[in-house]
Amino acid sequence: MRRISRLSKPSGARLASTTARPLAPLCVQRTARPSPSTPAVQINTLRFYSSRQPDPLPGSLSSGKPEVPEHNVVEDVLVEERVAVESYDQLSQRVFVPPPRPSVAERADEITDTLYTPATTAEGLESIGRLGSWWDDPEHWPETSDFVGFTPKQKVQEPVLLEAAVRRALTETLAMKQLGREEQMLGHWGLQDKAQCDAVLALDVRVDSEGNATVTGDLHSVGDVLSVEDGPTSVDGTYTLPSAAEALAWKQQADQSWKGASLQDARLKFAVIKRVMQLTGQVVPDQKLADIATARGLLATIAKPPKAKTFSQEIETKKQDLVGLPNVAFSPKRVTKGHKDQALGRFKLIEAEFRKRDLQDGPLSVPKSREQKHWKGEA
Amino acid sequence: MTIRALEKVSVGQNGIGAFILQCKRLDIHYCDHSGSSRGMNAFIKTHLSKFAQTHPAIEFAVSPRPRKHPVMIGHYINGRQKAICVANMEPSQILKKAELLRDASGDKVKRVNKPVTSINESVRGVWSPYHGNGMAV
Repeated sequence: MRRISRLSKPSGARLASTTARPLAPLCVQRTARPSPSTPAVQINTLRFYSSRQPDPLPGSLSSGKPEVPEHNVVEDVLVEERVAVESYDQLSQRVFVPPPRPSVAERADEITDTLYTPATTAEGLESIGRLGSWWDDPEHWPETSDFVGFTPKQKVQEPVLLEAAVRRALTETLAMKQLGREEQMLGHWGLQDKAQCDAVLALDVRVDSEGNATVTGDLHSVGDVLSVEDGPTSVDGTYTLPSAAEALAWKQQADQSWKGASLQDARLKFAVIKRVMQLTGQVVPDQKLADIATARGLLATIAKPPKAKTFSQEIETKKQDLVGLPNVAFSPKRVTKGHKDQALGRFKLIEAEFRKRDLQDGPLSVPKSREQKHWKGEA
Repeated sequence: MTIRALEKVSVGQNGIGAFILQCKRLDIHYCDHSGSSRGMNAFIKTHLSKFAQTHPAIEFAVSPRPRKHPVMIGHYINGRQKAICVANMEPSQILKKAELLRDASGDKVKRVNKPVTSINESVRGVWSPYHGNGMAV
């Protein structure tokens, strides 16, 4: 009895007998240019998006584009293609070496050479059309092509530093706004050195009763530094914030009224949060964005202590009312027999007696990795 | 002459004159990660602080016991111990177990099959064949 039902005859088999045209080589099917029916996307925004590239504005913040007439669509596509190819070339010079462009073989039915005979089997044919180990070569894909993040790798957690970062971001944003550079306010800002950071923190921020904040001082120097495109792009390894001691000294001297500055303006809020993210690595969740109305609210959102890894750590740090009681002994690690002996003062005596009898040459406690050694087959 | 034992002036009873809590120490063990310790961890967070404050005569030793069920061990002044596993219990249930350990005497649990128990001597005394006037057979 047949267990597997018969397969229906493939439709291609009937066609193959009638089709005299040989199959074209695979390399012919690879096209160097994208299809004109689909608009080309800039390659650098796809794979290599980083803080070095000019940031495209969010849709809600950028001004609406006028509608393009239909007759210009083809020209626009061509222009976009050209831009994409140029940006690809520029990018490839900086970050990687692209593989050679694919060569297109002549179609078998268009070959004029009378001696040419199409092959019927793959035996003896040269293999073409693949990249091989091109990307495995470190010269083609150097370390400089690594992703450069917008935020630092290590998040800033210290409340004093976060406060300094929010104050700095607010001051810089207000300065850009007052200078009339609103488009640059939403763009990518450069990083500064220590002197400029201190100068920004020293600027006076005044907040009126309605929450409108203004900055007074040398705003042009702040705006000019922020607008500089050529500068360190990676936050890691560059000066972003003062040390904790300096920030504490600054906080004790500074007026705290700046925390009441209103962030109701969406562009202002975006610019401040973007800068805080760049300086501290603290990302504000989307669902909390609408609740942030002032600089104080932003501080409360990001200045949260890190979550305890274990329950023991949580008890140690947060439950001082329990740990501090005189009749409560809390141990974050497992209490062993050795600990009990030590508490009773018996441990030293046991060790001494062992030493006398030459039975134990070391501490009584067994190292933690003893079992792990056994698992690995070690002695 | 019959031999008479020395008469007791008083019988020591805990609570008459002074009360000494029999439970001297309570070991509280939990696990950081296991689900059976969820109630115990909540008990430590919410109830233990107040419970320890109200019982200064008891020493509380809180420590983790990784990969094991949570347990409470009462140590008593008679040298005995009493352990209760509180896996998967609610914090309120664990509080009741802690009160049970606090109130326990530490004695081995014995079956009580008499309606009345007393520490007082028998009024009639203990009969002895060697004492008294004797009996004519």
